[in-house]
Parts: sequence; C-alpha cells; structure tokens
Amino acid sequence: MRPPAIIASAILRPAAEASWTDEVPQTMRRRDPRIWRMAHVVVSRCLASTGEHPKSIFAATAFGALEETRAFLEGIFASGFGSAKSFIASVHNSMAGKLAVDFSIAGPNLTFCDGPNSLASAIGGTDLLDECDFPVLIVAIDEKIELLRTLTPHLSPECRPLLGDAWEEAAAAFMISRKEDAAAVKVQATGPRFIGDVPAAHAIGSLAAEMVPGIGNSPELRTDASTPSGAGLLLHEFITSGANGRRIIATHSPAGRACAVIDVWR
Amino acid sequence: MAAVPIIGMGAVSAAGLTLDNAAAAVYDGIDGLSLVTRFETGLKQALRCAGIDASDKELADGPAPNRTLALAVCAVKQALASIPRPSQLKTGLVFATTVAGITRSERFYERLLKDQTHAVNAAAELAFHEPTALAGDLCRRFGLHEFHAISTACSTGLHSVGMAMRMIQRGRCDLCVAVGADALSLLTIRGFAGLLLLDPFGCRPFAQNRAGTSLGEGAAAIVLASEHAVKELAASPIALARGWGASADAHHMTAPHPQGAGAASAMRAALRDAALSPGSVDLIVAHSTGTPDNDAAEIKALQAVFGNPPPFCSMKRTLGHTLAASGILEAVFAITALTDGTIPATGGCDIPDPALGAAPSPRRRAALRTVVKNAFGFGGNNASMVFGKV
Repeated sequence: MRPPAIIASAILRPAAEASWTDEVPQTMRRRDPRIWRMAHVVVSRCLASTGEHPKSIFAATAFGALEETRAFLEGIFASGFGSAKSFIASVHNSMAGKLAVDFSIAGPNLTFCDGPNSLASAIGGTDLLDECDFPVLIVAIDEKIELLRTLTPHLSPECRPLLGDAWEEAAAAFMISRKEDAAAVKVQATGPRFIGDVPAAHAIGSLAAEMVPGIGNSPELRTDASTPSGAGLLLHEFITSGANGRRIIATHSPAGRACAVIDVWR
Repeated sequence: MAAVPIIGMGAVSAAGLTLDNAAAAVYDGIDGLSLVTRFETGLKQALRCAGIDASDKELADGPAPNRTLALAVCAVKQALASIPRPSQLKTGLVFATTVAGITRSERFYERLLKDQTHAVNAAAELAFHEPTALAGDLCRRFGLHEFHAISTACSTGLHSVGMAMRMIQRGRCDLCVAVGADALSLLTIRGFAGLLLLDPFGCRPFAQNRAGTSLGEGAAAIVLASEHAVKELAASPIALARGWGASADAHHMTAPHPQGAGAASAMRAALRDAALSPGSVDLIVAHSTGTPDNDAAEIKALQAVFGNPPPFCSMKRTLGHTLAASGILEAVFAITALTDGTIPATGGCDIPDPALGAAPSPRRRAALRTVVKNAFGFGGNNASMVFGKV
C-alpha cells in the first residue's frame, strides 16, 4: 500500500499567539470548552491551506477535555450540580464529534487515547481505513490546566514531562491523503508497543530500527516528544522546513509502558 | 476483504460473571437492574443500574488498580483461556473505554477538594487514570504487543472489534484481542442524570412508554485470528467477523440525526465491507438505549437500509447501557445467539411503540446465518458490525 502523504498541516500555540481567540467563531466564544475552540481554530487553519475536504477525523489526545471533567466533578462535589455542557465535553471524543458537526465530516470518527503516543497511534490507525475514507484529518491536542500544576510535583519523575511545566500547550492538525503526490511529505507510524520494563530509549531505538531498517535508530534523525501535540509540533516543523531527508519522532508513555515512533520523510 | 475468524470470547456483566452463565438471561430479556449500593450517587431518587455484584479483586482474580481494569481482566482471561499462544504469533490489542480510571480519580479529586495535602497521593491515585495505562496493563498481564486505546463514547467497544478485524486483515498481527470495558462511575451516573437521560423505572427499549436508558457496567473481549494463526493453533472458529462500518452524524453533539442518516451510513458501510446485501441479514442487535429519540432514529435507519427490517432486539434491560463496553458486550451475545440459533427477547418492551412502525421480535428459535450489531454514541459517533456463521 502507498504510504500516506501529508497534504496540509497547521499548528496553534496559544502561549505564543495572543490573538488566536480572534479566530474562534462568535457562536463558540462564550460557552464552548477552550479545547474545542483550540481544535476548531487549528482545523480551520489546516483546511484553509488545501482545497480538499476531509472524509474522516482521527483525534489524538492523552486526556481529552480535562478541564471540563474537572469542572463537572467540582460542580458535583462542591454544589451538588455539574453542568451538562461540561459532562458532554468531558467525553474523550467530544472534540472529534464537534469537529464533525462544525465541518460536516460524516465518515469514520475515532479518538486515540494513548497518552504521548496518541499521534503515532492515530497515524498508524489510518492504515485501518479504506481508500474511500481518505483524506483523513488528524488533530493532536491536549490542554494545560491549573490543577496539573498542583499535582505534577507529586507524580513520578517520568510522568512529570507529560504533565509539568516543561511542555507547551498546543494543537496540531494534518490532512492525510492516499493520492499519489511525489512532492508531499510521507508519513508512517508504528506503535504503541508495550515495552514492559525495557528502558524507553532502548525500546524506541529497536522500534525505529525495525520500521526503517538500517537508519531508523540513527541519533541524528531522532527527536523525542512528551505529548501528542508536542509530536505534532515537530511533525509540522519538518513539513514547513522544506528540508529533504527524514526525521523520526519518538514518544513514550510511562503510564502505558509503551513507546511509538513516527517516521516522516520527503 | 476476507472475513476474519473469531476464536475466543469472554464477557462479564450484570447477567453473569461468565459468558456461558449469562446467555440464557440475555435471550430471555430478564431485568438485570438493581439498586446502586456500591457508592452514593447523590441523587434524590434511588437509581437502578445493571451493576455487578463482585469486588474488583474477585473480578480480576487478584489485585487491580481500578474497577474498569478489573472488568477488562475478567473478560480477557475468559477469552484467552483456551487459546495457546506460541511466541511466534504476534498478538495485538484494541482497548475501548470511556471512563478508564475515573472511578478512582473522582474519589481522589473529591478528597483533594476538601484537603489539598492529598496531592501527595497523586502518583498512586492517578497512575491508572488514562485509557492507555489500562491497555498497557492488559499487555503486561496477557503478553500482548502492539495496541491502540480508543474512546468514542458508547460506540467504542464495537469500533474495537472492527479495528481488530482490520489489524488482522492488514497483516499487522496474527491474533488481535478487542476489549471494551467500563465501570459504573459517579461521573457517568450524574452526567446522564443531569441530561435527563435515565428512566427511573428502568429502560424500556422500543416501548410506547420508554423514557430513557439504564446504565450498567461490564466488559467483553473477542479474539480474532488470521487464517495462518487458526491453522497454527488448530483452533475451531466460533464465528466470522465480516464487515465494519463507521460514520459520524455530523449533526448534533448528543441528539441523533432524526432520520438516522449516520446510523444508516454505518450499517451500509458494514454490509458493503462484508459484501452482503441487506436481504441476507437474519437478526439485528440494536443499540436501542430506550431514549425516545435514539430508538426512533435507529428504527428510521433500519427502515432506510432494510425496508421492512429483519427481526431485531435490544439487550439493554438485561445488561444496562455499559457505555464503551456495550457494543462489544452485546456483540458477544449477538454471536452466541447466531451460533445457538436464537432470536433474543427485548426485556422491558411490554407494549411496543406503534409510532415506530416496527417492533422487536419475541424470543424464538431461528436458523441464523448473519447478524448485524449497532452501537452509537455521543458526538454522533456510529459503529456497525456484521458477523456470520462459520
């Protein structure tokens, strides 16, 4: 089967783009969850750069709309009432469902929740679709919430990069096609693969070498990411750099004891 | 594409702790609901759900960090019990859940709101919060390799079967275990209650007086195998996974498309994938939550695809709505019904709603070759699977 090509991509970095909220439609500004608004903006940007309309949506998220889950539970515990909107949004696939409604995308709609490996899981998951389900829109997103600042110091050291101050809140969107396009960036992914007690660096090296025999494990090709959206930023950076060659983006989930790799080349 | 043999199944539900002792209850459509006693719901009215009367330790046959995982372990253990697993066979996993570790996380957060010093327990209390943590633990326990953890609300479990079928068809693994599991949690009970989706008298799918659904908990696992693995293991396939359809309503976050357009699209895709015509379907195990709108939309979808629909039934009164588990749990009983030649009764439907234009079948014996299972969820997410006799 022909490797998928990335025909459009976009990112959103809220901390670095103070005016991103100007791109949120008026109807979403007051009541919709922040993570839905982020997803809407990054998808709008992605679709604006291509004439193609997606047939399917894959979302990649470690926690989904975490702030809405927290808000719903706080409502129950503090006042005995949780908002219906927060409950609906707390479901992991709420973003993908909202995107389907907003952009009229009626094909397969799956949400991959593999922690930091979620983007690789979603890219690998496109292999399970039929030709008629392409192009696929993949959205990688996670939000940073205040509660995590309280909890992170008490988490295990290997979980802190995923949840602590080190990672940048972001969203990334990619349009994946199966059409022949010699100029487009190609992408494939393997994993998540369970690694048990094997050190992550070693397991990632083996996985990368298996996916791209001979060179996959070269340190100069590899970059690590600690979140799905972090992996998305790296992927977007490679796409927009115009560079030839390839890059291996590796992720590791301490909670799932699993790793995954994304292989991207031009 | 070639149909994929199913060589193992397991289920744990309010109808029974194993598949064998639950099938008769499901076929009879018995009332599986009982009062929730494991935790305080905080609701003014006592609530009946399809809970399971067993501890986490009993379910997992040992320690388990949370109830969803305990349920999943129980189902996978049954499904793999009679399957030898030579090391040269690669075994994948597609794990479906919506609540994952929330049963524990919500209690932790309640304590944290009262006393911030509880933050020191975060590492232990939240270690199994994420779906991927549960999937990883299943891999550790059962020697599984590559996996996907997915969450698409109430359609998730059925998607896990479709994805596992594709993983075999694409040659990504020799065996693939599809698992769906969800425990009853405060978050889901209060969320569904807040949306006025729960019937205080218990769900009555397709009935004239239906007024909402009833939640439940459970898990199911289905083991799919490549032809090569079937030969290698000298396995006797139970049934065949023949087609998967997936779609989105793209209409509303919680309400179904009034004409069932997305549901119909998923069923048509599954039949196309199976290379079967609608006329070859002998039984449909509907999603049928018992809410007025959902049941009406599903009947419209059935009529759009099948014209005059073949016999159909609902299992929700017996099993409850087990969210991410529901699609695969009911698929397991759809497959046993197929192999047993039984059309199950629809519990709770004493007087079918004449306005729907179609009524569920009573329990009866029938020669069945092909069964369709539907599962739909929040976000307008739709899944449909076609299973066939070997």
